[in-house]
Amino acid sequence: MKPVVWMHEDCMRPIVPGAPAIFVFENSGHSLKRLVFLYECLLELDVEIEKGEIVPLVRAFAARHGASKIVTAFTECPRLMGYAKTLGAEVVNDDPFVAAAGPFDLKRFSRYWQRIERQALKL
Amino acid sequence: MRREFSSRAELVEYVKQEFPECLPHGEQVSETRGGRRAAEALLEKVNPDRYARSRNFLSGAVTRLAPYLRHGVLSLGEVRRRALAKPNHEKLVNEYAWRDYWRRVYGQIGEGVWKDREEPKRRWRSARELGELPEDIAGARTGLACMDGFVTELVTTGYMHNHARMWFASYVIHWRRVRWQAAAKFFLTHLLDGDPASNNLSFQWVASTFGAKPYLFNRENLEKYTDGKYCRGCARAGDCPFGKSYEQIDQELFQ
Repeated sequence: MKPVVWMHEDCMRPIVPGAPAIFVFENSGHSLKRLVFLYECLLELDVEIEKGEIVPLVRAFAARHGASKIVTAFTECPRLMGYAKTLGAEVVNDDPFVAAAGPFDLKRFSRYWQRIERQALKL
Repeated sequence: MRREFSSRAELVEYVKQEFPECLPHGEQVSETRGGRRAAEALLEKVNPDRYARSRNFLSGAVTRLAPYLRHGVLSLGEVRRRALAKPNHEKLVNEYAWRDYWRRVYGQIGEGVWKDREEPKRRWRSARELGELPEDIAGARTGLACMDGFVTELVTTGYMHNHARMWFASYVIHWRRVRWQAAAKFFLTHLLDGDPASNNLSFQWVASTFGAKPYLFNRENLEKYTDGKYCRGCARAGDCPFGKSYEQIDQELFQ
């Protein structure tokens, strides 16, 4: 299986070592300083940088590399996960804060913390 | 897009050309550099013990890791493990957990982060609620040295200390009666670490639409944690809207 990685702005680190990766700038509403910051992050990574529409650009990238699958990082952002679904991408939850399984009571932080505290404070 | 640049200035010029739609938000570029190298240099310096004791002070030992965490240059798992290897890490890990918590809420409600999660817990005296951020606030021209200073730093550097974010949000929402969404959008445009989860839900915490009560502050509190740097020489020190007791402020703002 030869994968390619779609890297998005919620996970700008390698998740499949050695696999070709692409990042696509959308029209985000970011200021210049945010765009420069993101661009600098990308320049330290082995990733092809594009701008435009995510889905067609990632599909074309995967086809160019003869990829059998597209891999991307999990994010809570519904828009980005919507693209992942459209792309049929495999979603990897890379290095979460704690491995505790949900569902969680998220009504207040204190309830959440009570549930994960022991695991969060253990190496 | 290009990957080779001879200098940062060349990169900045290229980004300006390629993304002209960003220019109406200003042409400032932060001193904070993107990338794993800069993140690791900061991670090395994190001192959980000093953080716990001083983080509420603007001059405190805060980590400055937020932009790298927001964009996943560093993972929350990684920074948690690094913290655990150092003494007195409980407070820092607890603060990292807030970011994880906001993300999980975002995962549950999605675009609902833009809507009030709950009814506000108090009613304001003034019914006026502005949908846009007033120009004097966004342009750092309120005459209040603290608020103008916070906005100037945000627009110039993409950074605002967490305590300053709370004071600013409280001022905008409760004193100026601006809808929190307008200020949240302004923050997302400029903050290097701006993300809809932490940002919007923190605004809602201040507004009491995701918390038990509105967050308020007074001059004594702000002066203490800023070491008085804004109040000294503030043009409005004589009629400071925050220079009162919490009881007075509460009565003035709420029914």
